[in-house]
Amino acid sequence: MMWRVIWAHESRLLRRDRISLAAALGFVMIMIAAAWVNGDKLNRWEQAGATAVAEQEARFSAQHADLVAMEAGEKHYDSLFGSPQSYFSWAGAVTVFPFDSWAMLSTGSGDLFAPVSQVKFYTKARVPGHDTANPMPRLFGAFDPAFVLLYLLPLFVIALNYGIVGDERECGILPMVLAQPVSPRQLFLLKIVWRWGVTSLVVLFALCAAFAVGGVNPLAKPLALAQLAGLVWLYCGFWFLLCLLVNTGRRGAHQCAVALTGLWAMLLLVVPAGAHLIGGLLYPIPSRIEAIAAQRLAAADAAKQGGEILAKFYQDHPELSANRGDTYAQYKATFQWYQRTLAVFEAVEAITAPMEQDFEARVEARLRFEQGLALLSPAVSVREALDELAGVSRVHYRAYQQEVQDYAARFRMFFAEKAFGESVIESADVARLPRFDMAPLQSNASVLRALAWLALVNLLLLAACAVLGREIPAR
Amino acid sequence: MFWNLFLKECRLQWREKRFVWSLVVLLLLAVPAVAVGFAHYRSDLSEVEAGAVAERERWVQQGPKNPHSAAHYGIFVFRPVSPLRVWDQGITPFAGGVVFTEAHIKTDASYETAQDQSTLSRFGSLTPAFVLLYLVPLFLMINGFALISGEREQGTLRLLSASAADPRRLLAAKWLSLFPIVLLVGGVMLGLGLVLLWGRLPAANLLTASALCALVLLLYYGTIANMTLLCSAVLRSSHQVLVCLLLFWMTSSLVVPKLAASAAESWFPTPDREAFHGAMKQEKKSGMDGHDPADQRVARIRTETLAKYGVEKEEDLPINIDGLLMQEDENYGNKVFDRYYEELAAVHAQQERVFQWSSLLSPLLPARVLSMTLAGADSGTQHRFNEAVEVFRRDYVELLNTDMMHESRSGDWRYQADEGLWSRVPVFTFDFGSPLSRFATQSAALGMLLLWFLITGVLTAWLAPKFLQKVTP
Repeated sequence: MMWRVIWAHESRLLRRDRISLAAALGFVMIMIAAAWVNGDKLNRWEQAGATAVAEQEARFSAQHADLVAMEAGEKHYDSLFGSPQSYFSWAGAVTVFPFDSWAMLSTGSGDLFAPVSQVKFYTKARVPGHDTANPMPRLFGAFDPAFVLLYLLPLFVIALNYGIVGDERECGILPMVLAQPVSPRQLFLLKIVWRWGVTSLVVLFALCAAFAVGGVNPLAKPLALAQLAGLVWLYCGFWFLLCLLVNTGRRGAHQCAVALTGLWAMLLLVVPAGAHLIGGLLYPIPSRIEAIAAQRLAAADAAKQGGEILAKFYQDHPELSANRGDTYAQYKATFQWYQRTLAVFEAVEAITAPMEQDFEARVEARLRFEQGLALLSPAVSVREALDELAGVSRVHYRAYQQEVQDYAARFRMFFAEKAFGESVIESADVARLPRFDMAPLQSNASVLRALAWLALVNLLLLAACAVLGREIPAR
Repeated sequence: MFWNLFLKECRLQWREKRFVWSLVVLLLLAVPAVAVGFAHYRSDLSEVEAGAVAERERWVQQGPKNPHSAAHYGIFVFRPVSPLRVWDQGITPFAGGVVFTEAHIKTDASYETAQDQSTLSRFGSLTPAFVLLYLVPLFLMINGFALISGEREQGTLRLLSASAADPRRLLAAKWLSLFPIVLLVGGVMLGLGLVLLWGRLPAANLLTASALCALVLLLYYGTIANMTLLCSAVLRSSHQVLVCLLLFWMTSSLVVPKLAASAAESWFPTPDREAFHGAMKQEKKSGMDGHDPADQRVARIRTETLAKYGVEKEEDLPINIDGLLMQEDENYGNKVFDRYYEELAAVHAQQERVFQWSSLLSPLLPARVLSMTLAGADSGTQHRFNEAVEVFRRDYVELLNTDMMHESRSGDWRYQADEGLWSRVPVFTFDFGSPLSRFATQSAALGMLLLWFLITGVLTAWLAPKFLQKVTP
């Protein structure tokens, strides 16, 4: 029944500790503010996506109506320039990153990639950055719930527990406490477990408040909610156990505070920055400039060999040398231009593909290496896991990039079929024109990895506390 | 007396384990930060230089071509690398370093290096600026928080007060005792930077940049030292001092910059890139006020040109009207671009004003802005680079259109220019400007930092001696 006595004592202490109560309230308020700020940004991005899709559909619909009118002989264009029959009138199709409702948890890589991009059949598809945005805000990073959990939660835990033993030692009450019929190990472990539980409840309450502010029902994804709760509980526990471990020595409260602050700075600032530095040295990412140069060279060569490339294109795509449309004679030169352009495009893609694959492989190798180094600091693992839960991790954006590339290939093939079939766009084609559609990627590899890693680290810390806590110096 | 007090403080610090440990850690971080920064600078520089040379070669040797085709073939422009970027990468990873320039379109810089980085990069990069602006202040606070409160708790403050020491001198000695270590770490980094960069930019610029950087750091560290001493004197226990200082560090280094970033984007949102470019394209097509559509403009120019040369048919014109029309379209488009980009720049300026005002809550913000500016890695320099690229684009597109206009006749799309014309396009150059001129653009940030230093200094000089007389906790 000793635990009841200790927990009742801790409960009384907490109720009388106005600073801790204020800190808890402050933490909840900061979390709500972060959720509100990040939710606002997410809304803007989602709005941009919805507007772009709506505008595209309105444009397509108006052009479709024009095509119907042209086919009925009610409307006429003198040339293909500006006509909905022209491929260029349909050239730009929007792709929108599918944000998950949990994206209010973290900005992740969202501030590095534009939420909306455009795919054209005659240029290489890529997901651009926020070109119009000011880079300054991105330099300092986002104020989001993930930041609050990663950086502020440990400080909150340290502020409440840095003197869990040291304070009692400095006040001179530790000898009296140790004179009670309870082992020091049991006493301080029970204290930590109680505080850990209370803090976890505060954090979960703050997270629920954050979800409420973001207008998200977390119960809609019970597994993800359980993973988030587990992640927060284990991360919180890591810092509690670290506090206890530091307190087991002969240090005073302020020495413990200094040591814990140093550890906080090491784990959240120095280790990630150092690991990034080592990753950059061992796995340098090739320059984009080299890739651009290779692409330019390939494009120039391909353009010079246009005829041969066109012949090869026909060899590779015999299905495209099919029926000639009714408009062939009228727009012969235009079709030839498109055919040549598309053939050259495919040739350039084929030439530059090995270099791009090499680039991607090197980026992947670097990411894998840094993922290994991330284990040096639980904060990095937790950050990756939170980004993954929010659906805005690197993995999500890489999947999106891949999906955009695949979509661009389908989109280009649609126009290739038209160009090599030598017919203009007709009203019946509009329904066949590929549209981008991607559901949020469901992935939890980083979350599971972080949970397993944190559980292991916590067990090790617990064991260390149990061993070192057998004998706690009273003075 | 003063020097005795100063030496006593220094000796006491040296005897603290935490002091020696943190010094070792800082020096272990400082040296690789400079060395790796320099290695990255060299590799980036060689890539940009090689890329620019290859791009120029491709441009000049693109073969005979219609000038307008060449204008669409375009030129890639790479952002030059400032040697001072060794010091602080600033916004560079988040701002594109490559711009594709071509006719009709003003494109933004793209290919941000941050896009290819892992999650680790979002925790910060180990640069000299990171060590000096984030870690050294933490070190100052951890080593200085007990300067007065510790003496009060140990009872030695009573002894000091009983001595003939002037409280202000005592405070000054304690304040100064925080600096030798800072000077050591900062000196090592600045010295190493000077040695590595010597000869890579004019000596006057390098020395000016170093001196200005030292000034910024001294003002920043002076502010931190003031805060440390003030809290140590005013608060009752060392615990409270430490908690208060850590709270200040965390707020000013992490929370306020992030809050400012979010507030800036929330209060003054930048338009979405697709919507922004779509609106410009539409305005070019329908006219700036919606009453001067492109086809009407073209018809008007055709009529005016025929009238000007006194001919009835375009074939009789002494110039190629297509070249003229394309240049007129460029001129009109440029007006549209100017208007939109001015509005965008105004939004960016408003966002930066949020950062300026937020500097009232964080001395790190103005220090960071000044550090980035000195390194040529700030948003102002990026803006100037974008403008220089646009001037370059407009000039060479005009050169190509003018050539087409005067060297061929209307309707002659078979006309081809050659290397002679391509060589006349100048090589793109960008001048980062002198560190002093860049620094001068950030007078508001300097003013804020100075304000922080003065206010905390005055408060310390006014309040700390009073609390020094309170000899018991």
